[in-house]
Amino acid sequence: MASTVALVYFGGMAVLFFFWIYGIVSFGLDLKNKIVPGARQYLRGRRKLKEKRKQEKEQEEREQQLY
Amino acid sequence: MANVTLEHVTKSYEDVVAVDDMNLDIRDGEFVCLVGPSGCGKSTTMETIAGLTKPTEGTIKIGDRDVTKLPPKDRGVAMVFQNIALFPHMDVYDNISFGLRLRDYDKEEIDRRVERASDIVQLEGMLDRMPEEMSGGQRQRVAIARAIVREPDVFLMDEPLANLDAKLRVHMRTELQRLHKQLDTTIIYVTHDQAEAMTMSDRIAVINGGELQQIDPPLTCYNEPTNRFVAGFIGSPSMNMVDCELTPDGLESDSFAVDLDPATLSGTGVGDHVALGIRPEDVYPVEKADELTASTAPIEVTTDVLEPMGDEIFVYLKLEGAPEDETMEGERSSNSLLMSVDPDSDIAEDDQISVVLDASKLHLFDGDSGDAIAHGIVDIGAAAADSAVAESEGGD
Repeated sequence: MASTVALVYFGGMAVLFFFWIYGIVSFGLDLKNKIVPGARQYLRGRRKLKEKRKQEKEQEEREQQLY
Repeated sequence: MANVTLEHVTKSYEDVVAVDDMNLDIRDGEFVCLVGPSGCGKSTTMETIAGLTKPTEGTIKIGDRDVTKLPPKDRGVAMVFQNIALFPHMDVYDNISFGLRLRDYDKEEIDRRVERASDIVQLEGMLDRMPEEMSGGQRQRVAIARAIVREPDVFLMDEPLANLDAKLRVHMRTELQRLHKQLDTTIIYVTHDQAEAMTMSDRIAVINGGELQQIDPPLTCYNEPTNRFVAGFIGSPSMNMVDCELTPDGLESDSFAVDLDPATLSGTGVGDHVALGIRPEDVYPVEKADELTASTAPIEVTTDVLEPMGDEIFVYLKLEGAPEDETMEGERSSNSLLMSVDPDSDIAEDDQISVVLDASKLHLFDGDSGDAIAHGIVDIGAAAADSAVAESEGGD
């Protein structure tokens, strides 16, 4: 009886910890491969858009000097 | 008014050279057209003059001032853009006076200049209209008036008629010529339409691949092109080009020969490959050979496609024995000729006919570099001309 309880206890713990560790590792890999690159890409895109808008505004201002 | 000088102007974008060592000297009061195919660097050249783009190398002078590093507002230039670029929320008066208000001119001066400009471009009575209530031509005139009120030393026009329909474009062409006569100001005009360039300008600057090919009056570019590119680009339809080899007796192509003394051609020798250029209007049916002062021997051809244009017919001619070959962009194949004939001509498709070339209108270009060697080969062997005349008389 005691051995069955121990088996259930350790089995349950193993399953619980397996998914806990799996979750942590999976999150770590997602962070490395998806979340951080995605955030970087988003920031890069925003920066580029901002630069493009600035260049367009400057170009427009220069063109208006010729009106 | 001012002259514009470009000295060794180069504009590069990373590994692309848009303008390559451009040297231009545009005289005071001159109307100069920059022409060339799309992407040749003509708009970039204009943008460097306007100050919208800084040249990578070189100097730009307007009058005696070096303006290379000056912002557009300090260059004394006004520009008319292809997209017209009127403010949709402003009426015509406000659009025209925009530049003056920006520079804090007083109201009386603004009124005087707007009235004069609207008078010049015939916009009287329309000053309170909004751009959306106007036609394309009227909007373009507002844009021109906006440039006129600035009273600039130089007008820059970047394909201002490109967005107008064909009929309006022809009308505006005349208006611009009238405007130039009236203002007598230096105008630099960018277009890819060689008809616009030919009709409006005092001189044409032909640009290709960022390099200036030729700057000359329109008829000089037409009659004495400096190279094969200019010959093909100026004139519509373009010049016929036939690849030939220089022999001791003259020129020999795969389908016909032209008698001439090679010694009369400088810079070439027997065995050299050359391109023979002839405009469609200088190709004649053999019956007309006696009307020419100098013509080639008759050339046997087969008529292919006919294009009736109303005042003339373009006849595509297949040369006998000439193989298909590679041609430069915009040129016809070397195994065919295009001839322009009168609209009442009885030439039909698939006829076997003989044609002659007006020898005084032949052009020779170097086979490798494409540079012009000679324009008009009057030293045609008498025998060739006589045989053409004899054949024409025999045919009558």
